[in-house]
Amino acid sequence: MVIVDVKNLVKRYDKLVALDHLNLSVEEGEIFGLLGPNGSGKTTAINCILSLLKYDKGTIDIFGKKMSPNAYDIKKDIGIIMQNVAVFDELTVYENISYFCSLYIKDKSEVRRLTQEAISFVSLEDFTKFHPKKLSGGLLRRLNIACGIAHKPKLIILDEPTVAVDPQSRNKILEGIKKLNENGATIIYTSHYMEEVEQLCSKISIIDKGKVLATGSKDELKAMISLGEKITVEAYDLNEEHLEEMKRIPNISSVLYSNNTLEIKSKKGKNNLIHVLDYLQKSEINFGKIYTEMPTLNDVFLEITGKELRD
Amino acid sequence: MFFRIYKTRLKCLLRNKENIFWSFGFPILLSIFFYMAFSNLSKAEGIESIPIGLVVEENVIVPFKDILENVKITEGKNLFEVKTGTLEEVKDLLVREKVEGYIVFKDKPVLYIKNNGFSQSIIKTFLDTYEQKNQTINHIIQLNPDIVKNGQINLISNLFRNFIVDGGAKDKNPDNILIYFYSLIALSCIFGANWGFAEAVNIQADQSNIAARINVAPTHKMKLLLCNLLAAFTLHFLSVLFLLAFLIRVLNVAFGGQLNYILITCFIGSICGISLGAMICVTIKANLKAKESILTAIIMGGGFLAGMMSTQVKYVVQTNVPFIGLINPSNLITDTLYSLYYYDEYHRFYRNITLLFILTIVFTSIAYFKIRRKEYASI
Repeated sequence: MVIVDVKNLVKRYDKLVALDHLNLSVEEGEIFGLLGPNGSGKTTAINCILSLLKYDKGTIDIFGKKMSPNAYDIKKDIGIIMQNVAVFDELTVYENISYFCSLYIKDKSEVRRLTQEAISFVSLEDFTKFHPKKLSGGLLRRLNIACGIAHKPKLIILDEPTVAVDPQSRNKILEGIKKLNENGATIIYTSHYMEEVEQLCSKISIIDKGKVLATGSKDELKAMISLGEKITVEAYDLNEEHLEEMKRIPNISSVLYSNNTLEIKSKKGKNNLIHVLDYLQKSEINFGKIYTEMPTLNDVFLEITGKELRD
Repeated sequence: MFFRIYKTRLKCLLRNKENIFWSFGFPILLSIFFYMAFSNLSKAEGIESIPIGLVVEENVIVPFKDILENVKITEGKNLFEVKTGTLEEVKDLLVREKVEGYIVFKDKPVLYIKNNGFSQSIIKTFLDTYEQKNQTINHIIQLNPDIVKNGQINLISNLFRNFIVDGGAKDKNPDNILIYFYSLIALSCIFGANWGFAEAVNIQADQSNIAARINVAPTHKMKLLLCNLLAAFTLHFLSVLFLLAFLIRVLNVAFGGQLNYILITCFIGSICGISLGAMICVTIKANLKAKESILTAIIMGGGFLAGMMSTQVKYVVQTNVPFIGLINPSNLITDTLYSLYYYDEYHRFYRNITLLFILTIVFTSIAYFKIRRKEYASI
């Protein structure tokens, strides 16, 4: 079942086109990643999906119904975790979660129960009476998440929830998101951290300049590009002639050499590494460490757009 | 749910130390400052008879001159020291500052002054009251011409004799210092604008992250706003009551024994303040800091024009641009409190309260129509 269906979404800020006929389709139970550099339109897309932003063209359906600001029956099943922490400084951890939960749930005892569950879920049991200003960045992010998921939504939208978070907290957050998904929630996850998206998401849309450039699983996306693998060799005393000869090895698309590090990119094909090693031995080139990498989402993005994700 | 949101919001506001200081602490500190600065001045400033010129070229002025000469501050002390003469003579007196102003009586008395000040305010207020009562008498005579024959007109004309003694606030001299305390109360009411502003920020998705989160929730936005504004009003009105209690109990500031009317004024003034803040937040297109600065400028500017820094300013506004006075909530509140202190009749009180009420409706309507939108052009 399609949970979120966005068709031909156009959003303009005067002459700037923030979303250019954007299409997204999120299936039930997925962790859907929206991957793109800063300013690519991820947050704008999320705000349009949530009916916070007016859009110029297109349709947005959630749970099979048209999304609008008054669609309270849809909104009650959505949880949002904003890019910026959105909690009251004057309220404690417990009070914040309870307040946001009470905007969705009427029954007082139910709010209490769900608040406790959310606190346990993000492991903030020891901080329930703390005010947000007393929390570290990581704990604050966890509070932000708890406020968004306490009412047990069916669809959870996380907009760059790990920005400026330490690695330990980041791992906790990512584990938590997986757990939420295992518990049945459909998740939309926006980020410009490709490692996170790669690790977490079952389907990914790569977005840039308000357009979806490619959509698929990570393997599907990697299969879309010509890059086969990257071979990195610690090599000594190479000259221009060597580099030119290496470029003539089958499937090798580029060769770069600097600071005794040789970087070779190859197209998809068999025995690329063996061919490179053969050449190094035949040419009596001294070499040390050698390793290969499969293409990353950054390579996918680089090949599609000609620029790095974090540019 | 309504009560839960209200309670949580109240908790938020109570824990906001900065807001609490500006609402509860700052007016108290300012009142202490005023008290220390002006209390001696107030004692020293016993009101004296005001020298005033009267042009006597016209015969019709005789009854008016009689009235002027018989107005008392207290028993045995006249309000005006009337110096009569030709136009040139009284003009000369004014130039030499022997009189505070002079009156030319044609169809009605017209006041000419050289400087603005407290004495001039008294003369003008007297003339306004004279004119109002004169019209009342004429109206009565038109309706009942017999009362002239019966001699009852003398009773009516006595209305003019007790301008200060009976028309004022029983045994109290006009106290120029009180206006500072009144404008402080007005300022305190209008400080509610800060609360209204904050609530408007917290409900608009394009103004704060919290508001964006709240806007995504399946709770009606206006219901939330109502809860929040109610919580803000509760606390704000408490702060005004606290100031009033402090002024009355601790500083012994006289309010003319009209506490109920004063509370009504503060009640409407506080709502007006909150709605003003909400309106400014939603109508001005600028970043949050700029909006806050504009709001502060409007609050302080309103206080200034209401005479908080100098009583002369209030008079100048009233004389030259009375419209500004009518749309300045601080001025309306100050004026209402002042009128309650000095007059037994409530005409001015009702006029000001009505104007405050209209302003509140206008501010609230503008804020409502702006806030009720649910989608934003940009966030």
